[in-house]
Amino acid sequence: MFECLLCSKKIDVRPNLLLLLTGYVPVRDRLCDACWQTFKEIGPSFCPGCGRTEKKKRYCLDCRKWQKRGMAMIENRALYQYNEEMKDYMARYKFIGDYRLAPIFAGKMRKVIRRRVKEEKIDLILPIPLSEERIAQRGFNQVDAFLPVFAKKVDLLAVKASHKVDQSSKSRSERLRTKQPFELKEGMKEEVSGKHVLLVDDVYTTGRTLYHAAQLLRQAGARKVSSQTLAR
Amino acid sequence: MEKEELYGRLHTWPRNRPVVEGARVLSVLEGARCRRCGGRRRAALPKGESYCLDCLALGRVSTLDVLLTIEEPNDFVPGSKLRWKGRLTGRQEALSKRLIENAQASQNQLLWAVTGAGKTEMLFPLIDWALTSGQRVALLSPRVDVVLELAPRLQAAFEVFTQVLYGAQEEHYKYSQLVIGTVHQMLRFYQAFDLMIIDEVDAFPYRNNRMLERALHQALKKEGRFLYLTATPSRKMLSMANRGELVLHQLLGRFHGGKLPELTIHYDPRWRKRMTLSLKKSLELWYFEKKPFFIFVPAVDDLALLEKQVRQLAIGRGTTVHATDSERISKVADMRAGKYDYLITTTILERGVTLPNLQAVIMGGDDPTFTKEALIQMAGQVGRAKDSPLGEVLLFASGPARSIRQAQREIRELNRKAEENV
Repeated sequence: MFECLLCSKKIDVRPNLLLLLTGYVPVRDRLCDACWQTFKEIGPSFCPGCGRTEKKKRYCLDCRKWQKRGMAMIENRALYQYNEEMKDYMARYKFIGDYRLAPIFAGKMRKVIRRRVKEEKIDLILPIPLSEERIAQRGFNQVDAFLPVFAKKVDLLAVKASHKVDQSSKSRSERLRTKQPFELKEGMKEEVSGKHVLLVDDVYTTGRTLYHAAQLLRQAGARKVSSQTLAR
Repeated sequence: MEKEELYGRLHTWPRNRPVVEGARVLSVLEGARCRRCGGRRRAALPKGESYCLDCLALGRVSTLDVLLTIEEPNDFVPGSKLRWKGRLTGRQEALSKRLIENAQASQNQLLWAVTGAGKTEMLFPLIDWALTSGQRVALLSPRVDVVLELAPRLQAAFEVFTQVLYGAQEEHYKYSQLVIGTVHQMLRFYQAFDLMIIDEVDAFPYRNNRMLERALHQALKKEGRFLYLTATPSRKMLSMANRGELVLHQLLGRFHGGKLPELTIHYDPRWRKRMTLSLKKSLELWYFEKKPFFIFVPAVDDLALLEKQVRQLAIGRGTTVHATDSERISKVADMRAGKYDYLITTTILERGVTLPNLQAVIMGGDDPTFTKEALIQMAGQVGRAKDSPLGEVLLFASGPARSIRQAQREIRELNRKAEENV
């Protein structure tokens, strides 16, 4: 009756009243056990800069390069490792646009963001925006599902009209050379100044996108910028 | 986007992007159904938009898109493109003439030819006639393996660019007069073909699949026609022929005049546990005579069991193949190139693999996955080549089964009829 959303394997969902009345299937039962197990969590020790799994808790090579460039670290935290299975999930969710995959990690992301907002005294939550054109084609911003429902979200950033090329279609060195793709929306400067902002994105690959956004926010007067992604 | 690439296609295009000049815009919905696949299962997007779940595997078609097509102009160079210099036997030739006559009369046809009858070669005159008269032709099969086997043969036989289409392929689509592909790919065409030839119509996943059946009709021009090919026609097909909706051609007997191999049945309820001495001897003999062989098993889990048993005999190299095997295509290619002495496989290789001197063992022949048709097809892999019309098919079963009996009876029947006809 029910199939795993990733591998189409049949799943036994125990019938219950909620299912009978509303057709709701718990998120747990939307993927098969085998698919759930392929996603690897980051674990207890990770790089304090980008949040990737490391043996020792110290800045990884990529983060030290950012330091050398004179950037302030953004303290990214991620939930999962960006392995092949995660790439496949992202491809289906983002690029094919299978919106049924949005709730799979949404609960966990919301929870961790709520916790960070409390612990780190975050004032604003800011999803990385998509260009108007892309959002019209895809029908959704993949990050929106990850945001807590009642938190303070603001639409501060916009993608510059000149910036069309997708980061995922470039090579690593091309990505790192990308110019600032974002601009601050008009009249939003007061909103940011003196605030601690949390950026939310789906994946941290080279960090270029997040560092661009962070730089822009700091220039606008943000006190601190951190970030949270699903995968690293 | 090239205009040519839209000829007779059904191309997904974002609604907010400017439309290619001269293209016809079709809405993605036809009532409550997806225009591309006819499916009704949909998933929601924000703001009341939705997308089709039934053809998601071929890329998302959502209400944020439109479908583009340009009417097929048959923009081809006229003239014969046949490069093939082989010759057909008398019976093959007579039949291929009849195929052309019926195609000219715009009849849908069904060709029932036993495995190893030389179906593909028989099609060459028909395809050549269609190409010469400027028609667009599709040669399809439900199975990738069959497509991959047919493609090089067709490309060698015809001097025309041939686009090969299947799911896992990465090549960019190009407009071509002759298209070879899986049945699924027809979801991307719209009134494009004058002649569609569907090989192995009774095979999974085409069999009893309404979506694919609809896709084929959508890809066919209004005045176009079908030619179905099979070695084991379904009842539905035969009754369509009885009602006169299809012209039935029957080709009994293989092209080299040899017989279909009968099943040699052994009852062995413990075939999963160990190998009988007689089977061991047969395998060793085949290895000694340098004959490749297939071992068919009913389930993926049995592959490892059998592999272990065969390994103990130490007879050359072999491997296992199943449907979700990522190296499936390359393994079959390696087998063909002679790198392996045997393959242990599930029913996915039951058809369309022509290997000289091939022998076959069917383990657990009474399993419900082995239908009558599957058994006939597997037996039909053996003795296809001209130089080696003989071969053995050993069947091991836990006990008697109707499917085995029926398959054996049909093989004998076909052999008897073939003998009478000669």
